[in-house]
Parts: sequence; C-alpha cells; structure tokens
Amino acid sequence: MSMQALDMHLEPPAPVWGVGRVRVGGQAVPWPVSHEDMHDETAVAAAQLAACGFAAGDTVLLVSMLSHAINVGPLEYAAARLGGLYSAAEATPYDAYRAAALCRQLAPRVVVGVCAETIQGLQESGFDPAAVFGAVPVVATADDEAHAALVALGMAPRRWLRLGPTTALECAARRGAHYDADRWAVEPDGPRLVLTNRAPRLTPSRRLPLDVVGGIETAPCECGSAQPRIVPR
Amino acid sequence: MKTQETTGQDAGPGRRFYEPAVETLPRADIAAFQERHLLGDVLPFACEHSPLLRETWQRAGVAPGDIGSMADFFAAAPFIDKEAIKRFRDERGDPYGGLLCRRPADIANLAGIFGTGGTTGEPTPVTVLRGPTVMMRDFWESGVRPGDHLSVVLFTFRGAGTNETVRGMGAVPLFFNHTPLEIPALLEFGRRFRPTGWYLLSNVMINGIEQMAPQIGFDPAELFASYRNVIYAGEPLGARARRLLDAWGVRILSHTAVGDVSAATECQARDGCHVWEDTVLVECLDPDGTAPVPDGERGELVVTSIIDTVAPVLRCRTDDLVRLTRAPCACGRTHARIWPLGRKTDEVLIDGRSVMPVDVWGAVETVHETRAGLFQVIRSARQMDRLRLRVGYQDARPGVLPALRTRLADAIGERLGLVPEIELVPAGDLLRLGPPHKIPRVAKR
Repeated sequence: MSMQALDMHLEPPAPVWGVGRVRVGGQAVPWPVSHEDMHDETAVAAAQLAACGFAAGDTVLLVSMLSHAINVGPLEYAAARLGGLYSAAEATPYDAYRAAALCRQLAPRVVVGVCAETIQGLQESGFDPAAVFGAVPVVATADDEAHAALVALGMAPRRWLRLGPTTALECAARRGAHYDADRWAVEPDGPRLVLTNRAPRLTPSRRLPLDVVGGIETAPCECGSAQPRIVPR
Repeated sequence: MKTQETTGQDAGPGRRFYEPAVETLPRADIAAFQERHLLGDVLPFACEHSPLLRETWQRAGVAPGDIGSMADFFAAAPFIDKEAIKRFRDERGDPYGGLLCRRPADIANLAGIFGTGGTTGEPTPVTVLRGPTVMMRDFWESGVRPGDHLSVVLFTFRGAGTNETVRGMGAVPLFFNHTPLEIPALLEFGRRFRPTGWYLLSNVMINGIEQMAPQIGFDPAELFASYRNVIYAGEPLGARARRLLDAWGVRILSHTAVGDVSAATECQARDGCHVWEDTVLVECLDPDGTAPVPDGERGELVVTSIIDTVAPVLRCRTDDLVRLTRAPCACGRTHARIWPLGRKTDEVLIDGRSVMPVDVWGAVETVHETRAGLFQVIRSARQMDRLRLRVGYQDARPGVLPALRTRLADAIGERLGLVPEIELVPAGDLLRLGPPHKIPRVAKR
C-alpha cells in the first residue's frame, strides 16, 4: 500500500532536515539539524546496528516518540543502508500492545528504545515483557527503569542513550554505551556529562549538559571497539 | 503522470495547486488513467504475485483475463477486507497479510511494515515505502510553501512518510508528539519558527488546549497565530469543537484515511475531502450489498490501488461509511470528494432505528461535564432494545453523578428521541483506551 503517485513533483529540499529538540536543564530546546548532519549520524547508527548483528533482511523495531526524531531518524536510515527494514511503535503505555504484536509478527533482530512506559503498558495489558522480548536477540532500553525491569525478569538488555543530538549504544559486553568519539567529545562536568561536537553540525554543541549521570571509560572494550563508553552510575 | 510544473509552467510558489495538471485533470482523463493502469498493470500483476489476492480471485472463480473493462471489474472482481488481511497474516505467519507482491529484498524503497491506529483491535499491517507522498498536494493547499515550517504533531507508528512528504515539497518539519503535554513546546517553537502548517489536530488535542490554556496561562489564539490552516483528523469534528476553533481563529481542513491506500483532505472550499484518484480507485457501495449507491448518498468506501505494484489491494471493503461525489468542486479540482460518517460496525439499530456515534456526539457535548465528547456506544449486537452509552466526565465530584446522568439522558433523549442507559466514568479512563488522537467509539461491553 502506498500513497505515492507516478512522477510526483518535488521541490528542492530546504537545507534543514527538521527541527527536533534536546533537553537542556529540564527544558526542551529546539534543535535544527541538516541533511548532512543526518547523513553523518546515519553512519554512527549503522555502526551501532551492525554491532547488534543487524544485517540485510533484518528488521529493527524502534520504540520512540516523534520528539525523538533527530535521534531515531539515523536508525531508520541505517536500517536501509544495511539492507534491512524498520518498524515503529510509540513509547507510550497505550502502544505497548503494538510493540508486542510487532515482535511476534516481524521477529525483529533488534528492538531499540524500550522504556518505562512500554513496560508499564505491557504489564497493564497482561503481557509478560520477558515473553514479548524473549525471542529478540538484542533489546536496547531507553531509560533506567525499563533496564532494571528487564534485568529483574532475567533478561540482558543493552542501554541506548540519547546524548543530546547523538546517541550511544552498549555492545554485547554491556560495560557501558559506546559513543562516536570521532564526531563527539563527552566530558565529565561534576556528576554529569557534557557534549561537544567535533564534526561540523548545523547546531553546534558546546559543552552541552546531558541528562546522563555517569563516567567515561576509555580503556579498550572486550568487544574490540576502540570507541569510549559512557558507564551510567 | 507529468505535471505542468515539470515543464516550467506554473512552477512558482504562487501557483494555486501543487500539481495543477494532475489536480484539475478532466474526469474522462482520470477514468482513462485508472483503466489503463489498473487493467493493464496492477490487476494482472497483483493476481499473480499477491498470495491473498491470488487465492481470493481463484476462490471466486474469476481470472484477470475475464476483466476486459472497468464494467467487467465492477461486475466480477471479488472483495477483500481488513479481516481477510489480518486472517491471512495470522494463519500463514505472513506479516504483510498476503499483500506483498515482491520479495522485500527486491524492493529498493521499502521502508518497512507498520500498522494502523488499532482503534478497533490489533492493527492492520501497512507496507510503507520511503519517500514523499501525494499529501504534498494537501500541505500546499493548506498554505505551506517551500522554506516554510510545518508542525508535524503525530505519532511514530505509521513510519516517517509524513516527514518525508514535508521535505519533498521543500518545507521543514517541526516534530511534536500528539499529546496536549506538547503545548508548551508548540508555543515556544511556534514563536521562534512561525510555522504555517499543522498536521494533525484532533479532538483530543482541542480538549487539551481548552483545559490547559487557563492552567498554564496562554491564549489559544496565539498558539495558532502563524498557521494558515490546520489539518484535522481522527473523528468527525463536533459542533462545540468547531465553535472553540472559530473563537481561536483556527482555519480547519478536515482529513481522513482512504482505506489504508491513500488519504483525503479538504480544500479551501471545505466541501468534502479530495481523494487522489491517480493513486486509488474509490467506490461507494451499499453497506449490506455490492451495488453502488447514488452520487452523494451514504455507502461503504471500497478502495483499489491503481498504480501500486508493491502491496496493492483490489476492492478492499474499508468498513468506513462515507458520502462520495464526483461532482465538480468549487476549488477547481476534479478528483472525487468524500465525507466520512463513521464505521459500518459502529452502527446500532435501536428498535429498528439506525444510531451512529456521530448522532450521539452533539447531545453529549451540550452538557458541561461531558463537553469533551468522550463516550462509547456499548454494542453487544447490531440490533438492541436500548441505547447503552459509557460517557467520560470531567470537573464533577462523585456526589453529583446521579444528577449528571439524568441531565445527560435528558439531552440525549431530546436529540434522539431515545432513553439511553448511561455509565459515567472519569474522562481519563476513556482516553487511555485509544491511540493518541481518538478513542474507540464502540465497545462490546
């Protein structure tokens, strides 16, 4: 089913891909990103998915809200770049049933973004989260509550962190979430972390305060990646 | 289908329509286009490659070769419906519901598989391609132009097609979740970017804006000040909501799904939602039969893909009741228009009399505590002795509920001539039942 017509007229694209948001000091700050930004972040996301074993023919299920578009868009593009597909569910209690249905119907290789609302919605609807996600090879959580809930159910989720306009994802070692240090610098600032862009970005990040509390681990990871990790506290 | 813009004529931002040549195509040319593509391409391809359609046509004893004209198609082509798609998916373990005509790996622009809203049960699978859609024509009609910002106030479960459509017409999407909790961000981003388009507004958002305006201290008129038009969808727009929008200075264009094949949106004439007939063939049939109803009369919408060779549908009964006309529109476009009326399975017969949720709506919203219009018809069977309703209330203490129930029953009785049986529940209980932009209007119990 498609809403596309033959030979549709297209206008030249605007230089801005979209205006997302980043939380700074508890406030949602508008965050314009360019097509070049998204292209570059897609490389980051493709490396993340590949590290999950995602390959051609696989499906990734993205659990998110539209306000997360600048973090999730690169994963959508990365799925295509790797020859796979994506599907989506809202990160709300209501839509948890959809995440459950899609896990059953599509057998995704990776689910990214499972959050407290998803767990709550599954439990309220009578689903066992361990049964819903049990057959998914890689499940990445978006917050501490969901992570703790799945661990309590005997699962081994990875952490997916939204770091302002970029993201970090744990590898199979689960010893912290790898971020792309070629493009981004993450530094401690008291108990919290701050982010600065190394690669050009339409909206620069200069010691952008992150909502993540944790430390930086630069020692080599057993997964073989040289990228540093954020270890949440 | 080539447009004048591609040849340079009428190509500027001042042009009346996004694709003038297509949007004002003479009716005879629309019919010829549909016949050429449906009978020449989609029908034989779908019947060969779509497992569901192949089986459906074989079971009906009809072969594509039997169809030599559109008259043959209307006379002999068998129907499918959403239940058939879901049944095929569940019984065969095919997430595409038997509609996919090619291997996913062979479809270069396949984004993935998504689902409908799920208001009436488990979502129907929807295959989505990457890239912009024909809704560029609707956004243009709403006043959005290249370089403008458009507030996409939406959910993620249908994929990123809307965002790609906004970019396809050279505009910039602003991303918002479809919840009243986003109002502070809508205000702040609106002041900074002055967006001209909004997709989409719903009854849930309108109620949220009304409630939150005094709580957090903003003027709804300011919230909507920069928008040339706002696209509304989800459910029929009630009279009370329309009065609120008028007071806020909001110009609404109603929008509705066309099965799961396409979408339709009102033009500036606001006299029905235009269906893009270069993407979909629409029929309006007797809900209990197969005969077409007269132009403008109530019937069930039946859709057929005419250019889709990825996951086409042929004669899919949508369960949606509409009025449909192919009469010329005052705006100058020539494509058919529909007015959504509700779902066929929403109808109840009380003592033989048809009652749809839209009939109840106007009465429910006249009572202050139920003004949000949140209610469900309890439909244990199509024919019932009594109208049973579950109605959401706000701003009412438990002690006043018996009196509220009486006032509400009187209002409904006066409007419908029926004495309803009413269960009152907190409004939030109903909001939790639906996707972000609507609630299920019918419940079995």
